[in-house]
Formats: sequence, structure tokens, C-alpha cells
Amino acid sequence: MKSRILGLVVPVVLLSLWQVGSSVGFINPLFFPAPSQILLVAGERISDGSLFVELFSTLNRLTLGFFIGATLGYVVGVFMALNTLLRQLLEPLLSAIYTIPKIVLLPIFLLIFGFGNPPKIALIAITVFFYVWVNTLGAVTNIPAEYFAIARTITKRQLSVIRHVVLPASLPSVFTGLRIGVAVATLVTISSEFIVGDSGLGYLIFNSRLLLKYEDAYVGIVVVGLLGYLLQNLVKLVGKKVTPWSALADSKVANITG
Amino acid sequence: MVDISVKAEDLSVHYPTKSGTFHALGPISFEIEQGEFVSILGPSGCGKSTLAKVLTGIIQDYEGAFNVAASIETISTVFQDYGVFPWKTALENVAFPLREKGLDKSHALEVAHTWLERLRIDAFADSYPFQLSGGMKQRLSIARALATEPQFLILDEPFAAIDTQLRELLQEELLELQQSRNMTTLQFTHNYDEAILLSDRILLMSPSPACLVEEIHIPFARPRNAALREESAFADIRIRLRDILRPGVK
Repeated sequence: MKSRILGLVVPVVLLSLWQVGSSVGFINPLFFPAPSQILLVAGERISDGSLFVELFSTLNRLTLGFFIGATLGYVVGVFMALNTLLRQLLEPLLSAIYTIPKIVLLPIFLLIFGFGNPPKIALIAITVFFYVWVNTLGAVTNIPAEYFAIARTITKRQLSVIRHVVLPASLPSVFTGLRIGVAVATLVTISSEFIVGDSGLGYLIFNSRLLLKYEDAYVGIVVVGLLGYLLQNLVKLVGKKVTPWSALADSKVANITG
Repeated sequence: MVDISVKAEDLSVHYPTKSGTFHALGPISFEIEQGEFVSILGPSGCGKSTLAKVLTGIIQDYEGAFNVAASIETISTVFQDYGVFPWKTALENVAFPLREKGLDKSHALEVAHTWLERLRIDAFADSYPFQLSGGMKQRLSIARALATEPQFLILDEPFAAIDTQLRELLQEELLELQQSRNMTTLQFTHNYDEAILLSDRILLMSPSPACLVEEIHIPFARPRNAALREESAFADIRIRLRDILRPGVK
């Protein structure tokens, strides 16, 4: 509790300085409108619903891309971990692409998918794909051979082994991948909206600046920050719910160290 | 004519290393009769665990043959570590093999719960393994192995990581369970008392390359109980085992 209060001290001080600086004209209120002014505009955009239009537009492509990328990343990760031939075929290529900042692929996706949502969704999906793929591959290849041996003494069905060993043993790592993936996916979504299209929070921020409506740009920035924060925590929460053994073990360690 | 349950013929294991092949095990041959309890006893690092890994299927690259009688449908194993799945609760761990054997969910959970009660860990049915002590985890591992009523049980140093008092208690529990079920059992251990108390026959193993050096029949009648440990015949066998194994310890 005390650490939370301490964490609020710096933002509150900075916001106060900004408020005072902008009000007395120490900084240009056109480019840096006072926080109170931004809050006022935020209220307007919420009551006229225009903020939600952009927010849902962003959320729509973000969640769609996220689920496509996460599913493909998990499936490809599991198959590559369990099949040596597949791993030898695909790992060098995927590892090379892994390091490319995915936003630079947007022009290529625009060529392939045209304009509108599809190229952005593809970009988000490929971003999430790599975080989930790399974490799944690592997690599944690191499952101790003994667990597979026990499973084999219990069942002969490969599907049971995947369901009772591979899936649960890899879940904690997969959720680490999903958490980083959702944060970077938010970033990629906003960036792609900056570059192309006419909807979403990224578009709102970029366009407001062009129209010198800086209050709106700041509202967009704050909402993007909140969105990323909330999505990450949502993934974390879901992860804790579906991996209680890992979450409980973590909190036990946290209790000892903290 | 006694029924042979388990038969190993010229089992040996070679590991490839940088300086050629390493002869880790064998050749080893033995037979286990139906309902017999056999212990394979040897010092740590003598190759016991290599043999255990071959029999439990962890090592699949070996020479020779290992046959289990066709009449045996169920084999269960109690491992020293990794015996239980950390992502399943105690109850789920025991229910898992039952479900795989085709029991419906409610029946499997019921049987699983009975076994948790039998090993006195039913209060922890919904706990995860990391919430259990070492002894409770091993009890859970035994419950999981026995719940399917196996006809052949492999015990791979099940109590190696457990302190002496608890170890003796668990040995006695296992003795009772095994005698009441007449399971064919093969135990790997480096503990003399454990081997003598539980076994009909002890196979002694020498260190590298691991081979069987001697076979000792344990004459005590069944049903046995913990009091056996105090008898002088028990101590005599222990001394004999130690004398045989001593020169082999490097």
C-alpha cells in the first residue's frame, strides 16, 4: 500500500507543475494544454461518444489480431517442439524473422491485403505470433523427460499426453508471451493507425495534431496508456485463473521474499 | 510351475560419449514370479537408475529384451522425483490414470478419494503438489500408482528423499498395501532395511559396468510387520548384504 502511494507522488507532482505552468503561460497552452483542459475535452468526447468509436475500432482489430496470432503461435510452437524435422525446417527462418521489428512489414501487408483492417490485423497477428511461438517452443522443449515418461506409463494416447502434460506444463510461459504480446500488439496497432487508415486511437492522436486539436491528441495518448495497462493486467488475471498451481507458487515465493 | 511375470534377458545400455561408448549397464538377466516382491539393491551410482529408466521407458535405447507377461494389463510406477504432476491437484493426480483407463469422471474421483483416504492425505485433495511436504507427495505418488490396481508395480527409489522416521512409516504402509494385493513388485533401492523388510528376493548389483552379483532369498513368512526389523535374523541378512556390497564400493 505504501509503495503504491509513493508511486503516485511523481506523476502528481509533474501534473501539478504542468497545470500551473500552462495556466500562467510559462509553457505554450496551445501545444501543452493544461491537464484540467484535457480532462474537460475528454468529458466531451466521452459524452458525445466519439472517443468510444475510435476506442472500439482499435480494440476490434487488436483483439482479432491477438487471437489469431496467439492461436497460430501456440499451435506452431507445440508442433515444432514435438517434431524435430519441423523444428529443423522452420526454426532458422522464424528466428530470423523474430528479430525484425514487425511494423516495417506494414508496406508489404498493404500490398498483399490492400487497405482497411486486414493488413493491420495481419500485422498485429504476426507480432503476437512470435511472442507466443518463442515462449511455447521454449516451454515445451524444456518439459522434463520424466513427465513424458510418467504420462506414457499412464496412457498410450498422444492426445492425452498433449492435454495432460504439454498444455498445462507450457501454460505459465505461454501467458508470459501473451502478456508481452498484448503490450507490443497495442503499440503496433496504434503505430499502424498513425500510418494508414481513418479510424482508431492512433488515427485520433495523429489527426488531432494535424488539426491543432492538441487536447484531443492528449486524450488519445492517455487512453492508449490506460488501454495497454488494462489489457496487460487482464491477460495476467486470466493467466492466474487458468494456472492456479503456478500463480499460487509464485505468490508463495512473493510472500517469502516480500 | 510358477508363472513368470517379468523377464529381462541380457539387458545392456551403452551411451555414446566423446571418447567412444560408455558401458553403463549389463548384461543383466532376471525373472520375477507372479506376486513376488523383488528388490534390486546396490550403492548409489551403480547403474540401478539406468536399469530403472529402461524398465520404466525413459531410456528406450537399449540392447536385450524386457518382457512383461501378456496377462499383465497394468503397470504402475512410483518415481523418486517428478512422480506427480505439479499442475494437477492431489485428487486430479490420482484420478488421471483412472480416467485414462476408461472410468467415468464421478467414479474416477470417488476411487481417487478413497485412495487419498487410505494414504491419509484426503485433507489435501484439492492442494497442489507444491503445497505438500515431501512425505505427502510420495504418499500421493503411491496412491496414484496403486489406484489403478496394477498387476506389476515398479518402485524407483520411492523414499530416497525422505527422512528416516517417515521412511520407515511409509515402508510399513507399503508392506501392508502390497501384501493385501499380491502385486508383482520390483523395487530399486540402496537401503538395506527397505529391501529386507519388503522383499521375497534381493538382487545385488555391482558398480560399473552394472551387473547382478548375487541373489538372496529373504526367508521371513508373510504377512510381515514392522517388528521384523528387531529380529536377529534380520540383522544377519543386513550384515551379509553389506559384506557383499562393500568391496564393490569405490
